[in-house]
Amino acid sequence: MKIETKLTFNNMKKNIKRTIYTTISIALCAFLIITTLLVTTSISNSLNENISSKYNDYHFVIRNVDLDSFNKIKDKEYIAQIYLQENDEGQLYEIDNLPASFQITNGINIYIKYDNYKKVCTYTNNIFETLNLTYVEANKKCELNTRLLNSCGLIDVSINAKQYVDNVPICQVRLNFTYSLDVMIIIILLIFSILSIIILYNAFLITMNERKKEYAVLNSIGATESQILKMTFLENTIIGIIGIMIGFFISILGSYLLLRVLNHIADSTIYNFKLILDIKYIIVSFVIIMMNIYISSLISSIRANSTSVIQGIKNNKQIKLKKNNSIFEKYLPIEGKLAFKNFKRNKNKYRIITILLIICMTSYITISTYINYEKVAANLIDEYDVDAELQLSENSNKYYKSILDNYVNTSGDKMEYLEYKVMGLYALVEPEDALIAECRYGDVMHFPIQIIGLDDKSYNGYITDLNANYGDYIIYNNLTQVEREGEEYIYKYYTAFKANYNFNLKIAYCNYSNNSEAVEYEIIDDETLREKFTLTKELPNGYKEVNNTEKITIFTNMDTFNHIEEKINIHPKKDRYQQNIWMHYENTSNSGNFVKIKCGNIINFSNYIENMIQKQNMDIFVRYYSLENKEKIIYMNILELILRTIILTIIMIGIINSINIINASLYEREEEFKALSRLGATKENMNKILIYENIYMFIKATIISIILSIPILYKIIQYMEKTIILDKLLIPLTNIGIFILLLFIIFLVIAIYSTKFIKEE
Amino acid sequence: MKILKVENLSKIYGKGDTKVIALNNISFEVEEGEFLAIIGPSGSGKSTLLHTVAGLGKPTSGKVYFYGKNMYEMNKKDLTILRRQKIGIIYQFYNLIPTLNVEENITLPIELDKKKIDKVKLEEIMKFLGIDNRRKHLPNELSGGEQQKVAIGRALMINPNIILADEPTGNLDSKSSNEIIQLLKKANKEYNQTIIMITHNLEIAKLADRIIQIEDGKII
Repeated sequence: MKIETKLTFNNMKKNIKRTIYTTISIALCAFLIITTLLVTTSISNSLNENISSKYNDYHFVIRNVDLDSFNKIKDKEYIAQIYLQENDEGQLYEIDNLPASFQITNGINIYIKYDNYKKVCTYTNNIFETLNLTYVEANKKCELNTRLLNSCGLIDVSINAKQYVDNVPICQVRLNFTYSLDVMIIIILLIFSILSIIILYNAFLITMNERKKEYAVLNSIGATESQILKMTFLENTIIGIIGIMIGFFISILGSYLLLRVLNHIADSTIYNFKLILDIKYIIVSFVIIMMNIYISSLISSIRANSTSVIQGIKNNKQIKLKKNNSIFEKYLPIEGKLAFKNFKRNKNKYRIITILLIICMTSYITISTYINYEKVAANLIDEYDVDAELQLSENSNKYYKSILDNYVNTSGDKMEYLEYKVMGLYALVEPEDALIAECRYGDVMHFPIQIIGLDDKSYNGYITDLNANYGDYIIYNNLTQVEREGEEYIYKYYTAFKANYNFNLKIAYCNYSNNSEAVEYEIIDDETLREKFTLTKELPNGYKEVNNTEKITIFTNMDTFNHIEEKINIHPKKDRYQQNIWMHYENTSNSGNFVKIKCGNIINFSNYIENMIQKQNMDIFVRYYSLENKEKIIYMNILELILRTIILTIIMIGIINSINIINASLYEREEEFKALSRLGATKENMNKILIYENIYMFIKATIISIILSIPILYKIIQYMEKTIILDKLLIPLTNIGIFILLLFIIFLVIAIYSTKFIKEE
Repeated sequence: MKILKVENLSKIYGKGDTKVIALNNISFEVEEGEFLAIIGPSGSGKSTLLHTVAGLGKPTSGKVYFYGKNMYEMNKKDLTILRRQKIGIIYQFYNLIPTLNVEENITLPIELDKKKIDKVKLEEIMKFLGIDNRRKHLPNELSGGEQQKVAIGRALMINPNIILADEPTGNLDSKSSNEIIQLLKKANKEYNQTIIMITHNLEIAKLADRIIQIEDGKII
């Protein structure tokens, strides 16, 4: 066996503890990198698969297209299939299978399926360019960032035919797929690589420093630098390969378990993350880690070789003497003073642990705060106090209950639903001054109202709460007016009707002539809405969104609603100038019912109802109010789990390095401790020195972490204030405090454990 | 023939208030086969002189000629190879490789040179030093004297042109010291080995062919 190889193996065996610590450090670094790659690529694959299966029929929708634009794009070679839709409510038809009645005219919607789902963004950009489309907000050309966006999903573009810039229509683009994780993965791997290099450099340097004398002796008897470098590289390669193998196996296990937990958290979503062991990613991670090992090995070897042979043989260090003690030191006991001096002298050794602690603490403080803000924001459903709303047709009105009951029976989820009807009308009031002037449109007498017909349960509950009588018309007498001044929104709150006034409301058609100031009124009904009004600032349960309506809202029972509806239906509009219904509802066409849904698991419900609508072609339209927020909470939980895993790994690396460094430090300071012992220092004194050193290191790391966190927290709070406005900060101080305390205890325990290795004289 | 020539050698450490002149314009020569002792009190600069002569530390000024060639004009690698092949070094604290046994420590420079080990020579040296019965022992299993013998063996194995011994008996008891000195003397006489030995002990120094006294970095 070559002498370099022999010396390498001998050294590894002799310093078995050091070898083990370094191997574990490498294994943990490998775990960090491999797990990141495996988990993120597995998640990315699952998201890709899911999105491509969801949007299998078409990838791109462009609405309100004129004929000329349609002709420009319909023959593009990458288009596999085109579906056409006359308007947003119409049915989709294959272009080759259009019914005879279908008219391809200006304003149609085009649904495009590409031949390669991975190139959705590229093809779409080509269509944008062909049609010369521009965005609404920024007067710039439509273009998707193909690097950032995932390769598949649905792009929904609406052309606003009324707005043009330089003769080019403006459009709004809505994207319904995730941003590519590729860029994020590369950045994270880069960060972890740099971290690994620093950690491994430190671990190797400890070993080099321990063997400084031996290397110096070898050099003095004729070993060249390259021969010594060969030995260190050989040792680091062997340890590296063993470490990587261990890291690889724990990564597989760790990734599998992590994905299982993520799947449990995301249980009610459509996602099911599967661990994908792609050989190319495994090779990539091996290469990254080996490169990290070689880079750190090289740097540490160069660093170690910078000491002169004589210094190495004598095994002494140049100690820079600081003439003045700091004020801080004056108040410390002798152990503290010695510890402080040692800490300052050995800053390089403690630097890596300090850095790891800073990374852990800063990450935890900032990301925990961000997650906390996001979770609170997700929970604050300002606008709605229900989870979803169904808009029913006359047909679906008959069977929706069975669908909802079926959901409850099959899923076990709890559910409450509230039926209601709504119509928008114009009304006149008598006497006129019963209505506060602000509610009018200028000088005209009429004003818009919406009448909501509640189901029996809601209505009865409402009048009970208000101490009103059955049959009363409840006027929500608290309006919010929103005005915009530049970037700011100004909210005005006012009541519509004056209190303690007896008034009547007349439902009217408004007849506008060419001169809009002259309005004629035709009274449809002046008998129903009389006298029995209850004014309130309270809303019934489930109708929180009414708070944001700028129109006067009147709640009635269903009988009254139906009665008014009948009157409107039998009272025909004379001509098209008669203004009447201005909301959901046409007085002559089919009316719709609405059902508000409150359920335990909105994500489950959304999966169920979408499936039902698609399979059975039901004419139900669903609006989700809390779905996005609930999904956000799940994603936040996922992010939290990933963060905790990363921080835990970094802490473990820190612990191993800490033990390694303290051990090496004790070995170097053997003479110092023996000397102290000779002078009468007890084991207790020496233990205190070590403990003080660790406390200084921890305090330094904590102070730096807090300082680094402040600007990041400020940015987070600024960013989150765009979403929610709160009167208090949401920094989870208790959690952060507990985390820092736990870290402190861990490092204190390490220090106390290390004192076992102090050798007295 | 002059194996070594030291010309106006100076070595200064530090600057300003902390400046230390370890060697102050030293010049001397060593002939082949000579046993030279350099004696001086602690801090006189004798170890610095030996290390500079061994090529282990560049002087602040001056030259060191080895067989007429200025050592410090060579690059680091060539200087290391020179040490490996031509200069044997013996330290006060032995500086053996703790993970190699006696035999391996002695043959270490040969193996570093990638040359074949002359087993006959090895046996000869081990017998000469009286350590052939300890060949498989590790340094921590040997006494001080035995360790120093191994260090001498390591130095002799390469058949050096010169042996530099830095206080070879400094860490030994009198009996072992005597043994070591006798071995060095024997090596000088039997193998015509050129030896420069650093010592603070006049009695030991007297065994050499010539003594140079050094004090405060200067030859007295």
